Amino acid sequence: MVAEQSGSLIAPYKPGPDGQLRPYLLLTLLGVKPGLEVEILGLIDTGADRSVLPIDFAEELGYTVDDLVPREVSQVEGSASAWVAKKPCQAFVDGLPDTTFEIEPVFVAGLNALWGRADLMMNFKIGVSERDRQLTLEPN
Amino acid sequence: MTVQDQESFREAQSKLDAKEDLAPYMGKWVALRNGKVVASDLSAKGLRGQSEVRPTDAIIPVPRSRPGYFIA
Repeated sequence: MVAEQSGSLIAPYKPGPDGQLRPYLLLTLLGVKPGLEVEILGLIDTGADRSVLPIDFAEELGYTVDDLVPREVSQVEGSASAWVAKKPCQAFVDGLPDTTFEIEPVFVAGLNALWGRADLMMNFKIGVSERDRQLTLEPN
Repeated sequence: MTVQDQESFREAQSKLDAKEDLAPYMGKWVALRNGKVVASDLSAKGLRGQSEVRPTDAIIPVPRSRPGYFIA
């Protein structure tokens, strides 16, 4: 992870659950209750409207059942049951702690974390170099 | 969705298909096994600690809000 003077960041691809290097990014999410802080490795996904997290993280981030709204989510394999957070949590990218942004996560059972457009990509210009196997993030 | 173990995803989703009315559990987390509620609790952590709950059970929230739809 290399932070440049301009505030941008170069982040090498990281291994996922299968060991393959892909554009994974480590975010720290600050929960909706004081003192809750969770580091989550997720895949950059330009096809995701919003960021998606496994449902197991909901309570870790301080969400109660009534902070969640049930939704059907459409993705590659068809529709999936999901729960959308009614209120946002704060997040920052590993290596860029001064640039915080809001995420209203969509929680899904059986999916790995995905970083989507409405939150991460609304706050950063993101470049992907497959040749160099690295991401470039520049705060908007 | 870009990279995912599709089999584990489908399995996780299939466990969420409740075969009973979940309305009595609104506001709680429930453990589902074969579509049936085996336990409920106000917290997911508390639910996982109950003796009836197995690691393979689906643990899901049952909010009072109405369902909706969008694309992820």
